[in-house]
Amino acid sequence: MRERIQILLIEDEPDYVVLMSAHLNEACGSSLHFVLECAESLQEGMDLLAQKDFDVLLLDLMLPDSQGIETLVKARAQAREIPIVVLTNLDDEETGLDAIAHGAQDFLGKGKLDARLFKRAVGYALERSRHLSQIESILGNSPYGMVVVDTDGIVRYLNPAAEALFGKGTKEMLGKPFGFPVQPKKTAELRLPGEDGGERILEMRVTEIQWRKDKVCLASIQDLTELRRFEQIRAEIKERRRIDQLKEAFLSTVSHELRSPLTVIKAIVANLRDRLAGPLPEPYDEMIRLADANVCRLGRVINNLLDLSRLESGRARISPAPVDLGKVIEETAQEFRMTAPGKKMNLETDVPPDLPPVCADPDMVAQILCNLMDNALRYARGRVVLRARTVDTDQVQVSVIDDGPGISEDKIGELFNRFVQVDRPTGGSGYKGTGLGLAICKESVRMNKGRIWVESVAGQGAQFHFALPRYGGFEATHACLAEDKGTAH
Amino acid sequence: MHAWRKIRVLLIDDERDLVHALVIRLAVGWGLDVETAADGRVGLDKCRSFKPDVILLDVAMPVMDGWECCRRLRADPETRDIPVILMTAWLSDDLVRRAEALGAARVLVKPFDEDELMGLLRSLPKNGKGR
Repeated sequence: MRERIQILLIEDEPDYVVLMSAHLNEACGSSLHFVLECAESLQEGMDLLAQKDFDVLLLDLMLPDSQGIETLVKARAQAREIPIVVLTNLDDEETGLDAIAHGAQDFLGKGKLDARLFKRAVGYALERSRHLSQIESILGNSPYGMVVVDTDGIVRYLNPAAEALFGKGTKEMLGKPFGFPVQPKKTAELRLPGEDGGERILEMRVTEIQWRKDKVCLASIQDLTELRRFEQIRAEIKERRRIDQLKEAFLSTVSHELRSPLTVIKAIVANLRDRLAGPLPEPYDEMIRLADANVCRLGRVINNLLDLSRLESGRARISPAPVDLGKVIEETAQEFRMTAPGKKMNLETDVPPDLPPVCADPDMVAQILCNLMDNALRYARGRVVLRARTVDTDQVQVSVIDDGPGISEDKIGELFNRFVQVDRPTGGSGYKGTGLGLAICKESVRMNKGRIWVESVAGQGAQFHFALPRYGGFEATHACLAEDKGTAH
Repeated sequence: MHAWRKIRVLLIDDERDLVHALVIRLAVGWGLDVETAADGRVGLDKCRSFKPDVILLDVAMPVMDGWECCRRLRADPETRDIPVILMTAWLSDDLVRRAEALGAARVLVKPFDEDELMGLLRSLPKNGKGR
């Protein structure tokens, strides 16, 4: 199929129009077919340009309504995309070159014109113009900002992406200093103030190119802000994961190293107690009992320490479920009544029958209560009360109340810290605390979106309270899922 | 009438001291027939000759650890039905899941006392089948 090329000829001399028409017909070949339209003045030509699409504009510079290079400038302003071939008088190369400098694709001397020259000029003009529009399309649509900066640091060209990156139009940047140092073969980071008070990071790669007769710098610029932010987040996640793994590995190692010898000692002590290796005199019984009690105590400390580390490392998983605190309280009380130490202890429970369930991890709740009970029984003189109440409509509060010596005001603040034991009862009748129970309670309560605190007046016993969100209903569910921390006083 | 036979326990653990103490407990204290191995590979060999009723298997061991040993015990039709009690000093959700996936009968957390061990042994199926 032949390519149809629409040509607009703006020429006021009828002889040339006829001549041109003849050359055109002659130039038509198997692959090209020229269609000519003529205008006699610049104005008429511009009107035609506005109405129709043309592929090439043939322009005489000496027209009734415009003369000289001015004609080209005006025509180009209207026919931006269309290649222009200027028609000059015989041998007027100077005007022709001037026209090319002003954006014409080519020039043809009227006197020398023949079909072959004509065809070549139009063909070249079209081809060059197509290349140019392709390059412009590439530069215009590239996501990379392209800025040409000359040796004086002046911007000689920029593409739309560069305008967008710098937030300035071509008019504001073209012919003005670029404002950033540009060194060939160097990659630099430009830091610009961002919209939200943050910083935008642009990466600029610079290459040296030929621009007309000068060597200039072409800067390719890319916005790395999002990428950097993403990389940073990824690095943070990776680091956190690494630390978590280290913690887990550490806990696992510590656990093995502490528990393995303890397992051996425990087994040996039990063997001695049961005289499995032969008879031992009776006085050994007490020594063996003490060894066993202390091995058990060490086991508890290790367990508590590991539990606490696990809670604090954030690796402990909680499985919230509806928990009937009344039931947990009764069961715990029953357990302590059965295994209670020799002391005569009055262990009371005070739970209303309509106590609503809480949203918490059942095992953790049992452990919290168990730890608090353990403390209360160690310090109480003769009475411990376990009480549960609904408070603030959406919380259930549990109180463990003892009639022991209480806690002096200056000690209350540090009570929930690890290894704090207040006025530890002397005498050491077997069971001792680990100093970690309350720290575990604090962490467990926090993880279950609750709070824990203590009230005490020295000499008048202590009241340990913890409150957990009620199960069911929007607010409680919200509390179950909420990210805000519980408080521990 | 069947001849009375002692329950056979194969104890696989690299901790010599613990093995020593447990052998006294199991053999002298409870009158069980005990064989020991210091790693999983030796354990597998002894399992074939000793034909235990139950295996006490430590998780962390050199040469072949408890996981691999347990996997091979399960893969072998001759040993797949012998109940395995995994012993570990570090109990995690992950470990429990893995043990279940391997079909270990129970997990025993160190340090344990003789009541826990006895309780576990008693809870195992008498015919040595199932999990």
